[in-house]
Amino acid sequence: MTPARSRFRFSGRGLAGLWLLLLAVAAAWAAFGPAAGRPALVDVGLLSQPPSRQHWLGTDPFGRDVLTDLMLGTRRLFIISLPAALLASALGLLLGAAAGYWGNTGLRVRRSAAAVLLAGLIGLLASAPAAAGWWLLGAALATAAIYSRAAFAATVAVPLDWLVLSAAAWLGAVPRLVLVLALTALHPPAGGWLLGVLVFTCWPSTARLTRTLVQQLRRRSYVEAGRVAGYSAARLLWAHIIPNAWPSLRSTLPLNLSICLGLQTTLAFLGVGLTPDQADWGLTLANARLEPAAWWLITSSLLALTLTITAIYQLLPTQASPLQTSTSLASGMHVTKS
Amino acid sequence: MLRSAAIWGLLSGIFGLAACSPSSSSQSAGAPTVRVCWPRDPESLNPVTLPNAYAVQANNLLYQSLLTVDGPARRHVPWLAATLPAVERRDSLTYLRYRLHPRATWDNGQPILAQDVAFTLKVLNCPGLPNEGLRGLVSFIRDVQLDAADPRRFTLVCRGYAPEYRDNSGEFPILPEYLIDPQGRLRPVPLQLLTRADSSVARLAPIRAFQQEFNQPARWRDPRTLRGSGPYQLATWQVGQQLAFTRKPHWWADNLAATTPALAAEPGRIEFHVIPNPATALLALRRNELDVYPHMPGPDFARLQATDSTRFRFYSPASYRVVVLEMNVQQPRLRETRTRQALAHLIDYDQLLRATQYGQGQRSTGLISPREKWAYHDSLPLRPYAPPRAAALLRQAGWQQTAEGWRRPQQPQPLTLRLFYSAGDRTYETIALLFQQSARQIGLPVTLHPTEAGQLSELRRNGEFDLSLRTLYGNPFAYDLRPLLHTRSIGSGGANRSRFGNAASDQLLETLASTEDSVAKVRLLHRLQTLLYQEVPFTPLFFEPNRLAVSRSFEHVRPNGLEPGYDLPSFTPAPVQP
Repeated sequence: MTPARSRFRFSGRGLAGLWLLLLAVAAAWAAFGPAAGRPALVDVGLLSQPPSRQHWLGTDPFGRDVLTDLMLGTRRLFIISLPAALLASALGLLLGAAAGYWGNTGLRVRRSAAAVLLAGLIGLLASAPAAAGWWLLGAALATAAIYSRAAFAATVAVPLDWLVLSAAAWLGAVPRLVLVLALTALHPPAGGWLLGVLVFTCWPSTARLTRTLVQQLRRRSYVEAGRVAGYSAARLLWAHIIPNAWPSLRSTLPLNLSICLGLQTTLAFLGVGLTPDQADWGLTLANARLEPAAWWLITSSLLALTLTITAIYQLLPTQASPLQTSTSLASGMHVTKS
Repeated sequence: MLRSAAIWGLLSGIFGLAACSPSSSSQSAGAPTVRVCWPRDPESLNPVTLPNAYAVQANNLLYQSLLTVDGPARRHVPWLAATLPAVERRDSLTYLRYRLHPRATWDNGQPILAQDVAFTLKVLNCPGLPNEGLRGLVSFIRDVQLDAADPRRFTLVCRGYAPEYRDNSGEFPILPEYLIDPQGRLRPVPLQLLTRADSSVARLAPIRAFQQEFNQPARWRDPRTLRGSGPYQLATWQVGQQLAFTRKPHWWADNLAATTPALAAEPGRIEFHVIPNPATALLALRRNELDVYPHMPGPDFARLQATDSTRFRFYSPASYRVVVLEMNVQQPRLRETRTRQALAHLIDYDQLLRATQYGQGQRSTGLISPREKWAYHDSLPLRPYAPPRAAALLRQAGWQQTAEGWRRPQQPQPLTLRLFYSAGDRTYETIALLFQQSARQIGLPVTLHPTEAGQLSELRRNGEFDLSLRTLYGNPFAYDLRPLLHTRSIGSGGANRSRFGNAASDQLLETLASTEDSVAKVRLLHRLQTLLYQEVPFTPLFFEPNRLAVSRSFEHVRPNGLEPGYDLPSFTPAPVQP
């Protein structure tokens, strides 16, 4: 990389960081400032006014200040998109690591426990949502009871890799927006449900990448040595495999964040799960449909969205592969260049 | 074309992105195609159900009633009847003598006879059918007497007398017995038996058999069954998207339009495009995918007028549509009258008029339009926007303002209100946001619930709301408000969604409906308006004009203030401008 490009890259990342910091400040103002919990003020005397000294970004078709509306909207980025991206990355990491490490034969469970868990899963899917907790609790207690006894010791391999890949393939086969819309139609998409829907639909890419990396790393000599030394699977994964995969994996968080942000804004634009008194960039953009001539509505909300997604991409790591690095680990083992 | 003299209903938009697919050109070589924008689906085309104004409009293309309304002239004119009925009062009864049009026939060529009118009245009074609305409309008809000498003549025998009887007696659709009851199951059952409030009638074998056949939902989507004496037949119905009607190739009144304007049926095809989102509808209109856009939002109407006046004609006659904030009086927190009065003071009516109606529209103290000076109670003052007064009224109602909000000593939960309205409607959204803001000023939290129209209807029917925004429509011919305010109309059988009513108000409504003397009627109407003003089951926000944009490709629009606000069958292609 030439020095000029490097400087550009640095300044780009700096600006990106600054923008995201500004968003965090706006979100904090929206959550804890004097306007906390209150929508922007409606002033029917100022419907759809262009930018002016009083209203820097103009007003919307309900006479609300667009800048205030956008600042209030940042709060939802931090309470929906960011946690959803974090959880989706964590879930993908967990499932991908398990699938990559154990494959289809490495994880064995007692046959009776597998039957109980399967029954619990079927009951969960077939019963009313209110009974879901009981099914889960019942399955967990039955599994614990089975493992507390010496009887029923026959085991069966769990095809973990097949299950994770199949689930990811199924989720990938349905267009993400269609899937999200279908899920939000099942239940009013309030905060928790929307978060769950975003996590459910965004984990596969992280899981696929993690699985591939773990499959490569688990055959490394230091992992084999750890296994021979009697380290548990969890310790090997947590202390030795994931840290080596991390330089590549950390790029998935910004990617998931931009996907969650895009989906959340799209849902708000479509009016799913939001009332007009709630602030969201998608809703600000949707208000432009009521006043097509109000260019300031489209420009300001799109600019905010574009800048944020660009800033997130600027934060992507530059390293291409974990296997090109050499890391000293706490255990004293070393990763060597392949 | 309005037969909904006593039917008041909900008119609202559904949020969504239903797109208007491009269709063929609106002008064919012969009879033109007219494409109309509707914000919602009619839900049902069953001629005895008519759940909303769109269902009424569609039914008026398929079926005819004895009389119809000439919108611009604001009077009833004969439609299926040859002339207006002769009225005779004898003892405690009123006799309305009708003669059906001598050329009126069904599609199978058989003449429309008095027997069909008797059959229709039996259907409207038959128990177990979804006919509550129309049954109320014809409840004053006790019997029908057929003329042995002339099968087209008949006399309706009515209880008591009211000036509205003449018009109301001709407002129900005449149904073809040969399609609806080909086995003639209702023929041996006398009408008087059905008009009796006798529950044993529903158990009679022919009635039960008829109910079973009539209540099959598929029947009322089938173009072969949905046929009346009207000039159009159903071509397609894609629920939530489009309804299309085509002109019958041979209609009994084909050559009578020149002498009887009510019998005009010029368009060859009429399409109703269901577009819940006003922005999408406006776009479709601009892209020449629609010809008629009625009840436009004020801002869109003003913008279109400024930019596209060469392509469209614009009309805004005053209408009988009133937007109200309805309150569920059976909710414990809204049971106290002063609480409801307080909420009525939290609406900035003048700001609303400016923001949503662009200076048009008119405030009112009640459901009666101020244009109807003879009936409007002008001594009642218009309620002002006064948050301090609202706070004082809440205190008088027993609410105490605390740090957590308004609460009553015996109630642990503070006062919060849920405001429901049809999603995607800009007028409702503006009203809701302003109301929420005003309520916040006095520390009263209001949550907004924009809801899909079908789901909203269900919630209202079940009383699962605190406040809701609703548009009611009426006409100046009748003031029988029982379907809207009577306790019998609470629930699925009527339109009393505020669940207001008591023995005294029911008595007042009954007396009003049966009063013959016009002076006494005015006095009763004033009493009713005062009662509603004090009790506030709803607070009227404004009467809105019918903002109508019609493509300049058409003329003879005949805009008027009565639903639907234009005379679709009379549309003719405009001469091409040089």
